[in-house]
Amino acid sequence: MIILRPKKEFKAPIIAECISPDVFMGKSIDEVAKLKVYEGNKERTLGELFNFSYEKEPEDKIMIIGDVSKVRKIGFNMRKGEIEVKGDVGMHLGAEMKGGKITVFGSAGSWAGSAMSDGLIEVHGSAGDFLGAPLRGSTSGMSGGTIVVHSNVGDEAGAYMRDGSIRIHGSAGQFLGLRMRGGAILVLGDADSRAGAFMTGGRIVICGTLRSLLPAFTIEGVRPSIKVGPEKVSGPFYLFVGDLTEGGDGQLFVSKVRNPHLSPLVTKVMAGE
Amino acid sequence: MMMELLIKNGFVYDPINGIDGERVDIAIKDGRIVERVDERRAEIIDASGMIVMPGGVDLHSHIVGGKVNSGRLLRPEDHRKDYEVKTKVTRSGVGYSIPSTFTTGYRYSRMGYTTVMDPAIAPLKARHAHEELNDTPMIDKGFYPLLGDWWFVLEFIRDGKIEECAAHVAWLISSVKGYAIKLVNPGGLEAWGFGRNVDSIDDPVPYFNITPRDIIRGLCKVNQLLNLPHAIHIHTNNLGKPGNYTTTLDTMKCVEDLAIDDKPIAHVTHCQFNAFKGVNWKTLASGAPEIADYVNKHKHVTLDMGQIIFTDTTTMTADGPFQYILYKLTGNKWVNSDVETETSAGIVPIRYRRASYANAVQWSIGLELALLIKDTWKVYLTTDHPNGGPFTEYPRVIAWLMSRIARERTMKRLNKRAVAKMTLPSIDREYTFYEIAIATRAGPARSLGLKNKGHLGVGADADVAIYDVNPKEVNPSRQYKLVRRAFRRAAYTIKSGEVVVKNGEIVKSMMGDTIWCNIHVMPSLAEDVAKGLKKRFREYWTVEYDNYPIPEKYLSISYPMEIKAKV
Repeated sequence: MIILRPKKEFKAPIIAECISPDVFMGKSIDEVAKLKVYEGNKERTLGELFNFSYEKEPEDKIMIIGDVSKVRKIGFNMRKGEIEVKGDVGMHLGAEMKGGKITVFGSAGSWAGSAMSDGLIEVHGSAGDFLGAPLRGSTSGMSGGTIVVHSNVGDEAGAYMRDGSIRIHGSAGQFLGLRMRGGAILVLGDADSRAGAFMTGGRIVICGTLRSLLPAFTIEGVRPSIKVGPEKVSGPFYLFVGDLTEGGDGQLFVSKVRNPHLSPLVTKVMAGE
Repeated sequence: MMMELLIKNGFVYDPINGIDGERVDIAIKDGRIVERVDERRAEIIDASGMIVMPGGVDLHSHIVGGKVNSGRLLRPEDHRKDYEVKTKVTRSGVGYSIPSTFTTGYRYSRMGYTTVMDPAIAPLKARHAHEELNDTPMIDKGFYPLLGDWWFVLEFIRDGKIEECAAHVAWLISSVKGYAIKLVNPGGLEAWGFGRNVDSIDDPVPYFNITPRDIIRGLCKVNQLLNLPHAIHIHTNNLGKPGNYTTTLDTMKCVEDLAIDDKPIAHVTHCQFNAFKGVNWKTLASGAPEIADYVNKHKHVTLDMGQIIFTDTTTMTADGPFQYILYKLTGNKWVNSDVETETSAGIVPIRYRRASYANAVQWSIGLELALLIKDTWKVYLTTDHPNGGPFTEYPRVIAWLMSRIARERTMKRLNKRAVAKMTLPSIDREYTFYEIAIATRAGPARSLGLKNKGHLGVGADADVAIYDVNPKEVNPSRQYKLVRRAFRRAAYTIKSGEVVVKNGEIVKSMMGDTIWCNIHVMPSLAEDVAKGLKKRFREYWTVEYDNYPIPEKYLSISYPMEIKAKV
């Protein structure tokens, strides 16, 4: 295991794609210290920015102790091994990740797990916007793997998601599951408006309050409970289907008890008015 | 004083001068090929064991213009995945299927290409196109203005005023500094302005009461009256629709009687996209054998392949209604543009997949066209960049053309149902280096009427490509990967007598010419037509008549071809 500690408080953003077990494996501390990163527009080596220490076991693990909220792309494209961060991390954590595990005891920036296809990201704090979502322009979102966030997340979590699962213990921002095509998002807290906008498939479960429902969803019925992955979440839930503007059949489950404001609407639609 | 160059010991392929792999030394002085140079003073390039060809000529590649730029805006993800870092001589750039202007120039040059034509510019946006061409280094370039749906052209044709139409077209091409007449879905784009389309060459165009047939024939006659160097460049009606090969045959037949001598009078572009048989996407089949059969029997028409590559690319054509159908089919993001100008346009990103039945059939159609048409002078290598795939994938197409094994290897990974129906597995033909030289430089240059391009005879422009592959040792049929690699990165590219690429890297950045046609018609006729036009401009147009033409000084290096029209 290689342990990294920041030498100073970073001011400029640092792009550090190389902080990944795939890159570190088989390299000595000296070699690792020579890896190139960018601090702002200046090229630096990891050794200039971090202190290193080494422990024998486990071999494929990287631990970062300290605030790295300015450091981007940690665990980019990683396939195996483990990264543990004790502190906050910056944007693009585990972007395009293909395997392995990242644990953060702190908060993550935007685009955590961006377009990941396998592996596990667990954030014990909150996460920024675009959780699991691809970068602007791209339509290939998360296609596998799992993201767990123990606190709140920002807007557009799970946008363009095709497969895999996202579990949010806190609440979610606007446009949850935007243009989602598959996979599952479970929010144990509340969700802001426009959840499931343009979704054509997949499943969103909101256990708390949904601020407002998009008019492009229709009610399918009430379900006593719902399975999300291996887990059974008990309801009862309203089941909405949409987004009808896209001819979609995505499923949006919203807690019946926590959303009394939806009940007049549901009663009307079910009565055929 | 300009440098003198001598390329020694290379195997030269120069089809226009009938040189087929012989060891000929090529002497260059002042940007031209000359008889001989003083060997003691000249810089010597030792090309032993290498192929020497004229610089590549691409007659159909969307590299500049309004919709290319909209495509760049639409696809930030295309830029992220492919970028170039600046060097001492080159600028940085981005883009895989729609590279930025400088990168476009560099990448063509690295492949040994020296002349590229953009095939579709809305005349009203020509100024912007020239600004982009001014920023596209390394290559000589030009564009074809879109004229097949332009109101004044349609009106002249409706009224049977072909000579007036010719004078108007001459004014327009000379004003916007274009090179040839381009027709895209003639009549259909005008109909698209009203949300409609035409579905055959005899379907009347709304509000004009003429048919696409009238437009094609009219502009073909105009082309002949104006003595333009290139034939009319046609993107047929019904492009991209199953069963459209009959439309293509109709289009080629409808100008058959206009041919005067053996000179081709129509160029049907990216023919792969308009050689579909079948009634829907599930029954899609290749119409290449029928089209090849027709082309083999006639002399008035040439084609280019429009080969597709299995990759993620961006489709962009002036064919707005077709792009709308494609958007509906793929559900992808899209842009509808240029409808306010003389044409229309649409942009849709697409990924061609090996597992897709339709895409696999499309792949076979392009290659079947190239392999079934016996005379290589009639069919040229293109991918309709970026519609079928980016131009950087040309070497892949070269490998498929030169090697049956390369084709078989690809077929193994394709949709099985598609392969079972293909004609392609039964075709044994493999292109030789000589034929590749025709398909990628000599043929397009001749078709474009560029007398100084596409060959290495004395007096030709000193645009030369040298590839590190030994035709005496390498068997392209088996060692197609070596050929592919060699064509990806030219050992040397020489542009206007200067070495600009060495070992696949740019060593010198330079600006090429912008080639355009300055057409002279009889002054009395030109004045007549201009008088009518001025009034219409004042009434209907967003720019003044006098502001419409682009001044020659706007072009960074202007290369006008002076042409005397018959009218």
